[in-house]
Amino acid sequence: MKHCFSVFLVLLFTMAALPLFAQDDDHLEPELGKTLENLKKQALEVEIHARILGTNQESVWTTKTSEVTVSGKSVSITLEGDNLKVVALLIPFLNEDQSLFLIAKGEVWVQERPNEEKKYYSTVKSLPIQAGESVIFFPTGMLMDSENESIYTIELEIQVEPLG
Amino acid sequence: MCYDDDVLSAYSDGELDPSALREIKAHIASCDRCRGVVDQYLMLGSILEKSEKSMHPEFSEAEMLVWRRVQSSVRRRSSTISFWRRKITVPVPLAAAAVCAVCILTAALVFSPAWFIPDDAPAIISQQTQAGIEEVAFSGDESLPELEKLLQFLSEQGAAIEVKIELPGSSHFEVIGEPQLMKAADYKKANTK
Repeated sequence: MKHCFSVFLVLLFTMAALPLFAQDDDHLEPELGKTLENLKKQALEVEIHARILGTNQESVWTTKTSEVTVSGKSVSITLEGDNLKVVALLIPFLNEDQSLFLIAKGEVWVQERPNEEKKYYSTVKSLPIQAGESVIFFPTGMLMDSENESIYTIELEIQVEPLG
Repeated sequence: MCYDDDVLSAYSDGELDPSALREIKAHIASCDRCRGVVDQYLMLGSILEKSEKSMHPEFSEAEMLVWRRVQSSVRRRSSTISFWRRKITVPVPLAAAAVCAVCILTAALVFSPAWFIPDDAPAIISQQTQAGIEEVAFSGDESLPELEKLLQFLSEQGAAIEVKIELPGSSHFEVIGEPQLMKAADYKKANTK
């Protein structure tokens, strides 16, 4: 009798617990969807065209990459050559009015002559931009005059757009 | 020399070793006192034996009954009855309630909404990678490339987004000046001038 009653109680509790589990599942799915939706609103696509400009400022080498990030999270671009290493850290911010703000941090290690010591340069630049607007970052500096046209320069053309 | 009464008592009960028995027997044959003591012991023994048999038959019977009951109760306690062979008396209303509960539970499981999810509905697949990062992907009819990219980003969380580009080996670079960040439109304007 006692045994039977306990079996009955167990069944009763199991039945009572079933709707609770169902409620949990129903509750989780909209939560996940909402989180993804919020994240999507903050997501940004960063398109980078890396170019090497040679004689007469003509592009001698180019490559393109696209990365997805969220507002405030950096995208790091590392360019490695024989005598130079450039690390460009691009941090896009999405404002409430959907305008953008870009921070570019450049770090350069260069050995200009074979027997010289390696030099290190670092800088941080920022610029308010519009979605899809092209911005150019010159990590090794910009050639302003045409006297030294034989020097190669590195150019990173950046475009930031909200995802979707 | 006469023997002690205790020795004679042991002799009359036959509790002595054979050599002592022979010795005492030889002494009794010649000693009146010891023979008298032994006779008394033998007579007492025979009287006690007779009284035990004739005077208390009820006592021995009762003793036997008590022993039987003790033995049977001990046997009952020590015997292990299988769980499945135990006799359980269940009242009819309680049994009916239990049957109803089982039926409702089965129906709830069979007709659960989880069984009615269509096959083509998108499902979230979660997978643990070697690096311990949980990869989340949508299966089914999922044609949102943006969401896929976003999920890829999520999967790469924890590690910085890094792009490595190898520059052509033959190029020799120099630092021309301070790094510059400017709008492409402004740069074009400056170049055309």
